Amino acid sequence: MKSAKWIIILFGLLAIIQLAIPAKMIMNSNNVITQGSTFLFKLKPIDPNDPFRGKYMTLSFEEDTFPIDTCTTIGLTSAYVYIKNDSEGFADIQSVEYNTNLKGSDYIKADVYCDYYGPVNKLKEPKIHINYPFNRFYMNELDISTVENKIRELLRDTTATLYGEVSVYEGQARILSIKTSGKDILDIIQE
Amino acid sequence: MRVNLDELIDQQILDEGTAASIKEYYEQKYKGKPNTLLLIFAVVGALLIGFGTLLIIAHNWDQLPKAVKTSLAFLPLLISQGLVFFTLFKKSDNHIWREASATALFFAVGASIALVSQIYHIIGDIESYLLTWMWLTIPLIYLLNSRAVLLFCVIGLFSYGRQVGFEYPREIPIYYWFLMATLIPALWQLHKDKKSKNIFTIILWGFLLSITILMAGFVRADSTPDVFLYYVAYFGILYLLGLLYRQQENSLVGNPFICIGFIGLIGFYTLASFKPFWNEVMNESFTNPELTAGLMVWIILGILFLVTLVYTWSKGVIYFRNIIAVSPLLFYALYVIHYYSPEISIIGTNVLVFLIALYLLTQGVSKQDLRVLNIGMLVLSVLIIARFFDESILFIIRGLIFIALGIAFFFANYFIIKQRNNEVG
Repeated sequence: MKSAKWIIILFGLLAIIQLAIPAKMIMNSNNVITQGSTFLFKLKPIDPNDPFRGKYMTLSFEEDTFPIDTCTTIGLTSAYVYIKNDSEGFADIQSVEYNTNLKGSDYIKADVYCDYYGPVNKLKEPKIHINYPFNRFYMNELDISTVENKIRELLRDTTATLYGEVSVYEGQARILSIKTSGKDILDIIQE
Repeated sequence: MRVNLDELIDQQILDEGTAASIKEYYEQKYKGKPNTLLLIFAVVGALLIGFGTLLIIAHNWDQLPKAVKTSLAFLPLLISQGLVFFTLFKKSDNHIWREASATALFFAVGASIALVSQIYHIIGDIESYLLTWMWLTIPLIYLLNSRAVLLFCVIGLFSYGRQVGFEYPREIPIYYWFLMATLIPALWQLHKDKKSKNIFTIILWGFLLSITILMAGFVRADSTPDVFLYYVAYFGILYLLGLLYRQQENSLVGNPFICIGFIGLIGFYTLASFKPFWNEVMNESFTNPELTAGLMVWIILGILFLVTLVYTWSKGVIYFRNIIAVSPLLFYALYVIHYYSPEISIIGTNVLVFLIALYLLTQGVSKQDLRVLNIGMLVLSVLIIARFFDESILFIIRGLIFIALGIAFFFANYFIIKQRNNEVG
């Protein structure tokens, strides 16, 4: 009976850890959302799905490259991308840093790679490509095609600007919504 | 059984006392035995509910406010934790309760993490998701003594290791190896439980196939050349373990050690019997040996192979002429020779496979074991077919080799038959 008691105590500990991990994930995210600054990233989308986590849209953003003088890294590396607002109020890359000597809180930790080849292997200006850690937008599987059609329509429309609202705090980033002229895309399709 | 006993008593074949002790014996025997069918239904049921939960979650409920969605994320987890607590307090002897509640909790953990990721659009790569899931559920194998979770973890760890080890950017999945090692005591425990032989065999196959495949992850761009040859030592170890295991498990399907080890060795030697294999090896010679992970694995497996060989030899498990058991040593010798003369290595490898086939054929005949005899024939056929398609050999030489093999085969048979006739006579 003594060992049974221990098993129950150990399982109790395990149960607490099992609860603590998702709780920690939620706390981190809330921290990013409440403490972070909000930036607006202009975008263009496509769709796959993740068997474990359901349907999402893959987003790509206009501001996903940063020109530099020479490439100093090979292959995929992680880096810190500093973000500022441009004159129109959209996100703009200020700099890409590889060192961990970080200033402020408006930076995103992301996987980046540097290349200096254009189409057909022609040499061109070297630039850093950034894979943002907020390139997925999870949403209801019933609505996804409606939203995508709406997004395609909006992207063809030159007068509209489509952007993702992203909260950025000390390397972490969470996408909050997809909007056009201040209106949430999920609200637009309900109309 | 009871009806038959009564009949035997009536017919005065058995007396009452013996009948009673027979009855008691069988009652004792089946007392501890779980109801297998009910167990399977319970686990499959929990499994279906688990998958269902994952899918319903994947639908993504946009309409619900974030706070409600967040509390729902913990619901499957809390319910199944409650089930496990109930099992531990009230039903700890009940096999079915333990397996079903452990299975439910296994899926609930995965579901909760996924749900939280989805609500907050946390991207997190699939490997860290799988890894967290496995860390949080492997203890269930030990706390609830759950075989179902053991099987799921073997599968889950394989997908994790495959993701890290073979997808870009390829890395050595250290946690995979560590967590697989934590499963070994559970496998050992399961092995000792004679009632669970079938499930043990299934899990053992999965476990060994998984590590055999993931073993390839140690060959990397920065590896010292040729390190993939550690597979020979690895298959050699499996084969020797298979010989040990064979003492209690006579069926071949029930002995994945011997199956994987033997097929691996023969496959490797067959590859090495082609000239391009050695040319590839020759291209990058060991001019600047660095102690890379791959080389370390090679050294460790080499030492382990020698230790296993000495151990099995001292146990008397290896028959005197068993060339398969020592073949990794012979192959490594051929590998060293190839630096001086690749031709000797190619011919040597062919001779090695031929001798293995010959050994199996003689064993098959002398022990009257048709399985071994046929496997020997199969090895020989593989060798012959490989040479038939070998374009680097001239037709005339191929012809001569075939004739030589034919003669050797003829004489081998002749001597076996003659010897057997002598024994009979």
